[in-house]
Amino acid sequence: MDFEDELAENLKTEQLLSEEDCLKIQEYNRTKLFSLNLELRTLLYTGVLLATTGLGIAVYKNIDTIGHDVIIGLIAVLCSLCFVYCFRKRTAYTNQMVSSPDAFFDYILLSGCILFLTLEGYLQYQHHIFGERYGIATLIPALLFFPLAYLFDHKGVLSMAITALCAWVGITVTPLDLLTKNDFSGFRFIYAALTIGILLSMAAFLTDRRDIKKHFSFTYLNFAANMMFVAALSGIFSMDFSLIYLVMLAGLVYYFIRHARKEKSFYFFLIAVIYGYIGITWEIFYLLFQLEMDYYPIAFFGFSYLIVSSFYLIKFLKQYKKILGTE
Amino acid sequence: MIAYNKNWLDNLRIQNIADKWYRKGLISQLQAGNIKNQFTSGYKETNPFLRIGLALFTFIASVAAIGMILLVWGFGDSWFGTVFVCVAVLCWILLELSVKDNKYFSHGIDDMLLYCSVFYIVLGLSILSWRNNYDFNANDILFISLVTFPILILASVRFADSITSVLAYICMLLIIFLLVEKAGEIGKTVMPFVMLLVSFLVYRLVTGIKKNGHMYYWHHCLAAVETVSLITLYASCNYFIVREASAEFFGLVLKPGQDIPLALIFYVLTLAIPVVYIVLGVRNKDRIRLRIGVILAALAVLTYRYYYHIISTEIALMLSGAILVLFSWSVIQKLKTPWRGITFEDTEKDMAVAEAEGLLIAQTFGPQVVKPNEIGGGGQFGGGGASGKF
Repeated sequence: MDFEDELAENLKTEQLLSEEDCLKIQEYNRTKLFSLNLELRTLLYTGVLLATTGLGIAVYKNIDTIGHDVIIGLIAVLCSLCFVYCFRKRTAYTNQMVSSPDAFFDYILLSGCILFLTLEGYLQYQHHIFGERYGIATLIPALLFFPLAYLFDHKGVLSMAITALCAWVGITVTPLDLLTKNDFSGFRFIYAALTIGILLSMAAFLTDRRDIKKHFSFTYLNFAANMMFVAALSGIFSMDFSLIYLVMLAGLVYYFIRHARKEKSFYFFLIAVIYGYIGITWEIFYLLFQLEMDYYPIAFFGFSYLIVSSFYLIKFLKQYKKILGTE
Repeated sequence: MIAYNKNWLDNLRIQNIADKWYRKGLISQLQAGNIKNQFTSGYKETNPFLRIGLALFTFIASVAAIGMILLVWGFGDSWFGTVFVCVAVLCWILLELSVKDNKYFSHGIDDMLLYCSVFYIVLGLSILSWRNNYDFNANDILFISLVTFPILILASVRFADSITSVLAYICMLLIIFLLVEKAGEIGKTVMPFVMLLVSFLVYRLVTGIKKNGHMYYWHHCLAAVETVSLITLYASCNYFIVREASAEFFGLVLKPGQDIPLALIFYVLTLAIPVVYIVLGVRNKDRIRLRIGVILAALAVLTYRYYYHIISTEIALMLSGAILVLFSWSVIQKLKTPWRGITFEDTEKDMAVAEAEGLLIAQTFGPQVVKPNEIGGGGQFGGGGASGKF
């Protein structure tokens, strides 16, 4: 006998479940269907991906005979087909969360957005439609994707819109590139990241306050938090003992822990703690090395600091229920 | 055997089942709350972010502790290995103590202490055996594996950790590989079949144990080993792997036109095994076998293509893509009405959504259950001893 059926029986004898519920559970377990939803959908998308990759390679190899404009036209047609599908299938807009109309909707919407980016890049590469004004080229996707994200209620598109906005300001914020492609030492990066971060946190705040697509606020704030923390840290890393950035970091840590308490969000609590820890640890080791002592006392203090600080941070993190007020 | 409080683990399992029943709409919120109050557990699902944070700082502390010990004792290389082994033992003792005294179960600290312990002991032993002859050879690896294997088994059994279980299995394969290799020419020839046999035996053993209800605490470990054993079973007789491994480890040199011994058997097995997995997976409604079968079938096709370029890459991509789309589309259409208990409908949807939201929205505190008769029972998360179940 299945464990769940057995449990249902036992709970029945303990008066926690009625005869009816017990039968309902056993009936459910007996007739439960084996769903291949995820598997089949993955296969389908893999197939689409393979076929389009193959098509892309074929086109690339035969570009001389086909011609660029034909391909641009083809991408444009595909892109508009995606968007037309989304517009026809969409549910009416509300300020609340809307679930997607069918299983393929999300993917078609995303494909449409990606095709749009490809189309734009292709046009710029081939025909230089924007000339040297790269700003416009990066602003257009942002201007398109923000309304689309709200219209179709899609967090992925919202993330793309935010990324495009950041690109417009002149930095790459795709998660993998954030740490490798930016010039951290420049003030330009720090200011740009801070500006965007503040803008996005305001967006998150308004989203919550006005109750417009409340579930978007996490996406906004997540981008904002990471950008601002990285900006503060890069300030700390690149400048000599820089009190301003340390104060900034402290302010950010305070703000996000407060936010975490309000929203009962462990995620923001943890990133605030970790970013703060990185900043403080960096400064402490920086100051240690400034002292120009022998390696032995430096290493001794360093290791002691790491042991003691981790010990207290573990104690601190374990108090999260008290701190976040979930208990 | 298991270090954790079995009663609490049982109750945690019951709580999770009650949650599932509630999500599926089989019982009311009130009933779920009642069940949870009846079966209290000191353990609870830890917030994944908390787990990451605690594990991170545990790791930093342990590394700094090693640094500190080395600093105090001096950096002489005669110490290195010993220090690591000592810290490993220390980690283990700490782990035992924290599990015994506290309500830690998959909590971040206990996970990380276990991994640190195992990692340091392997590292320490490697340094010690390397020091002995300044030449790291197969016998050293065999020695380290032979010592590590029982530790990994003990770790898996006591702390029900799936990663150490998989490592233990891989460690065992490594030992067998090194021992069979010692048999010389015969060993090299029979190696794929030995690996195949061992994988198969482990697979049978693991699936057998999994059926036993009393082994529920290790269910996830067994499932992990089952998955890996299915993969190694295939790897041991995949044509590409056999051929390249023979060249790499046994110095096999093939002249043009030559092929590895028993090539035909490997060609057949390369495709036959994924097909068997898929068929068995569909027939027994076993997701592990089905998924691995599909992935391995793709690898089988790649294996053939690696040695025989019949069609160009783009044609192959388009063709396989088209076949996949046609196949999955037609199966989806067919399964819209359930066939032999298999459906395309998303029966796990509520759960998947809950999981995705847990990751994305980071609000993993779960739905607040109404606690109607919370009288002196210590509540949902209250410690033990109050519910009469102990």
